[in-house]
Amino acid sequence: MLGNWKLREVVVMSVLAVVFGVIYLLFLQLGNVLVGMFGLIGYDLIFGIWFIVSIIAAYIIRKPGAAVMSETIAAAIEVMLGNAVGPRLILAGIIQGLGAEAAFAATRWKNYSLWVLVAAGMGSSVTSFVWGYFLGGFSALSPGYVTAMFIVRLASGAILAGLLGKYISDSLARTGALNSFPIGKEVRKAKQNHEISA
Amino acid sequence: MKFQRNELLLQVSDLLFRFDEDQEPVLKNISFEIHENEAILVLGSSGSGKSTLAYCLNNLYPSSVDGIQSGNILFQGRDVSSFQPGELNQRIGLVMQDPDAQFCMLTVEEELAFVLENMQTPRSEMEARIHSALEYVDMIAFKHRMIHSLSGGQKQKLAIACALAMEPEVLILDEPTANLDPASGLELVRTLKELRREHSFSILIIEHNLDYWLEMVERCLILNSEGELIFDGPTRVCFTEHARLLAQEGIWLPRAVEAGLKLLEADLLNTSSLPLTIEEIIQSSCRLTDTIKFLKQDRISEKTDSPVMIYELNKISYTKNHQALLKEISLSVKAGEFLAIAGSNGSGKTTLSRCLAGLLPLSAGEIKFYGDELEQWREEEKWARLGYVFQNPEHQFVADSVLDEINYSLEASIHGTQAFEINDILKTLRMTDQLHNHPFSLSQGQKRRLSVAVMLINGQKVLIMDEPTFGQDALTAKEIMEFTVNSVPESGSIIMITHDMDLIDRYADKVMVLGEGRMLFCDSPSKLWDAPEILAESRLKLPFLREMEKMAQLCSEGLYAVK
Amino acid sequence: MLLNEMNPSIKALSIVVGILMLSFFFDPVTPLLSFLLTIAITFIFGKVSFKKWIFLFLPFLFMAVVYVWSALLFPRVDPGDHILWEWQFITVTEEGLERSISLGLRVLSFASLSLLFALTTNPIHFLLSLMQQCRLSPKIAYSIMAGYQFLPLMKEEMEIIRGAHRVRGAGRSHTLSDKIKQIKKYAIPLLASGIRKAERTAIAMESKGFTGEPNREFYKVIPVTKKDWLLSCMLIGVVILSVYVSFKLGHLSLYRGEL
Ligand SMILES: Nc1ncnc2c1ncn2[C@@H]1O[C@H](COP(=O)(O)OP(=O)(O)OP(=O)(O)O)[C@@H](O)[C@H]1O
Ligand SMILES: Nc1ncnc2c1ncn2[C@@H]1O[C@H](COP(=O)(O)OP(=O)(O)OP(=O)(O)O)[C@@H](O)[C@H]1O
Ligand SMILES: [Mg+2]
Ligand SMILES: [Mg+2]
Repeated sequence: MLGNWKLREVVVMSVLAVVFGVIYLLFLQLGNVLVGMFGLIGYDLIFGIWFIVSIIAAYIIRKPGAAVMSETIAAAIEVMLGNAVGPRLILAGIIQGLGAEAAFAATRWKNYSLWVLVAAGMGSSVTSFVWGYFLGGFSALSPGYVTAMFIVRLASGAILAGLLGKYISDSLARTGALNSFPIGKEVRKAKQNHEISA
Repeated sequence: MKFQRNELLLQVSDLLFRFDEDQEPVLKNISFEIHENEAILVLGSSGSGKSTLAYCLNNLYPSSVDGIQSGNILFQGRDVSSFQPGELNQRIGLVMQDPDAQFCMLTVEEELAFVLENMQTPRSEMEARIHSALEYVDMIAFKHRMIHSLSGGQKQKLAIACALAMEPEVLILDEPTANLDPASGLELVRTLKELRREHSFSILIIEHNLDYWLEMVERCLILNSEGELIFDGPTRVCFTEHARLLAQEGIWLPRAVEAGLKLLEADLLNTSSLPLTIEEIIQSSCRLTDTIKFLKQDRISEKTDSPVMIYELNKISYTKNHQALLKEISLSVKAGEFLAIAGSNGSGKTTLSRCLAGLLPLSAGEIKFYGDELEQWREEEKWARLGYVFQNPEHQFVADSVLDEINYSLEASIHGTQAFEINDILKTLRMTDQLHNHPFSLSQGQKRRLSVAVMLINGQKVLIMDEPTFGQDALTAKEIMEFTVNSVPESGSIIMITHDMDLIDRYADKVMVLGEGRMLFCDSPSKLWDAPEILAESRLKLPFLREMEKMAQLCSEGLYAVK
Repeated sequence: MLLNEMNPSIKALSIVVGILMLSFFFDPVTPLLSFLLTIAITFIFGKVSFKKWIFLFLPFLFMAVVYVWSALLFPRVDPGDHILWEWQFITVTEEGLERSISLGLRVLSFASLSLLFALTTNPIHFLLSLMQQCRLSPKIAYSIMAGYQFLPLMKEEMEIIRGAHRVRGAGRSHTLSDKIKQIKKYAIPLLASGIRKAERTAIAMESKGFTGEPNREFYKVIPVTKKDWLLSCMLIGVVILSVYVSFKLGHLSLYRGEL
């Protein structure tokens, strides 16, 4: 899978995964607060944030596997930092990542427009929900409630992963930190065109 | 004297390198050769492309920055890009310039093990080789330390140990002594010499502190500010015949050559050829006392005895992770005073300076700033008076381009924009071409310059600077010091950490020496130079002029014979 | 026979298998038993600080309570359930109560197994073991390590960026919108400098001759011994035993994921 990856890309992906692994842990606390307020559906409100690294890594690196691997590594980092969910979190990470990867695969890893990113966020929502249903025993809940959870999670995936992920990556590209990646070149070209037309 | 040339190792022809299609090339038409067992010094002003050249030789550039390169680089007759990945890097070892950016593991031991693993060293040998690599740089006590908790100089030593552990055929050192204390610098040179006697490898040194290396290198390469190779020849020829050219380019000269140039101009030498060492100056001086008096005249020491106390430290201590990093330091700084802080690597200088700036909380004792406790100061008011220059220049930056960085300072500046014109600042920094570049993509020296400049244009009265001149070429170092001294008013003060004894000798009113977190000495520099036991304990050395004075005295007493 | 010295990959595998096995059943007894047994094993065979365990366990307890509560508020009502208690729109049935308690205990049993792993495993050894036993590519493993060593740096980096802004004369934020702007002002540079450092670290790794070559000579070897398999049998045995006892008591029922 890593055949045509440069070491630079792998390390950048890992660092992104590490940063977001930490952020994921922090959001777990926020999730607990929300759950306290709204019940189980509280998690679904912010569930999208837990897919964001897939979208950012894929959008920046633009190679097959970026979405799955980054999400998996982020989960592994959470485990290494002592997230008590333990090794099964890695499995969850793979499954979430696969959802996002599916969206990118459908465009053969060529299209990274906003809609594809949003679809990738929703893809993660779907796979993660199926997994949660199986492992979490959602069948004990009323079907209406489960459906509501699913819809909220889809929206959260679209907004917090897809939109926010794009926004963060674009802000990063504007700092010039991504100049040696395709996204950086895109931003620079856009800037130049802007200067020429101005 | 060797006359026969050893076998050819590296051959560079017509090398041209640029980072981006629409930028000027950083290196132009570079051609030279490196033979087996040669020691070469690469000189050039800051930003001339020395580090870039080092990366190219090792084939890390252009691939890892997407740069554009033309021309050939052959290693043992083979193009460097045709080697198996990893093979070339093991045969051409590189110690990078920025000690903060070259590690990938958590602890010192793991980092060295990583290097050995990459080389497929048999496991049974690893332990011993880790030990000996650490021994070379005197870091055995740090084997199990977390890398991020090492001081700047300690990191640099570790980077050198990693390169030595690879036993490369060519070793490239990019300013290896920039953050080292004087004794460590000398020890490094001695270690390398010994290693070369045992293993014989070629070595390419990029360096501003020339004095360390003179006895080791035979050949010099000079890059000009355009990135062209303008000289390739024996060291002696380089410094005796081209000294003026080097000075013009802003490149450091060996201290003796620099002194010699001045003496020649003042007609105080009885030869027309430049001296390379102190001995040669003494030998060719007409009247030694006059010579020394002449050289001493540009020392700056106008002491105003002001009653205003800027800092009063009362037995301050700082402890981190159960380790006492600072122990009961008491000190006072008066208005108008220039305080230098010196000491060996890891003695706690940076830690102390951060405490002074209120960036670290004290564990005990108190600091008074303008009579009031430092912690009681309102942030805005404190920073309107106090400037701080970090040891790592990157820590200073808050914006995305050089221009934004300067603008940010101008906006925050207490004098407002009138005092400085942005173009003047850029010209002084010699960075007009880098206007839109990200501060992180500058050369190490450019970063340092920018980080000092953004602090200076803020216009604070009190400046704390952590090694502001390391990695600078001669011209910039001089400009930084002048700019600093001029922009801080009489009523203010400068507190500067440095490993450069000549700077202390020239500028400081008071010097404080730290050793393992304790204050070993605090008085005028001239008293320090008369205290050899403290110099030895704190791994410092005499400044050039004092050394010359001492030697001259020994000569006149007939205790020392000049050959 | 300490869990702390157990081979991390085998430990992880055993725990994942255990959790997957548990997730096939849905009754109160199975998870309760395996929860208690796992705690016993954690403290008998592992060197684990009780304080830390409790500290990490509390959020799960909270989560379990939330699960029970959600399942009680929004229960699945099957025809023929026995109503225990009714108030306004809340209906608690006997089956519903059992289901929600099963759900809560299920969370706790998963948590106990996971905590066992988290508190007895050295992260670096885990990575080394993944490379040595599971053929994880060193290219990824060492990149993760490089990322992992950024963590302490990032904490410092955060302080430094804060320091830099203070030193450079940026005012403090007071209002909420200021604070949000401030988060962006710190977060983006922090990420950007992280990426730049990552690129440089990659160069540093290459300059040290790293290629990602799968066959490596390791300085630290993480062995697999008989003990590891014994411990693994014990961990999975806990689950099997709980299932068996539950079956004998007549409680065991399969998890039917139907909506
Ligand atoms: N987080 C930490 N934990 C333990 N020790 C630390 C930590 N940070 C720094 N140290 C140690 O504190 C000592 C002082 O460090 P400091 O950076 O102040 O040294 P320094 O005098 O500035 O050295 P240099 O000249 O190399 O920059 C060093 O020995 C360093 O290893
Ligand atoms: N990644 C990069 N992207 C764009 N420009 C760069 C990059 N790295 C270096 N430069 C520019 O290339 C020029 C040469 O840089 P280099 O680091 O080689 O200088 P140097 O001779 O080593 O200087 P110093 O003595 O200050 O370390 C500088 O003008 C610098 O701004
Ligand atoms: Mg350089
Ligand atoms: Mg320091």
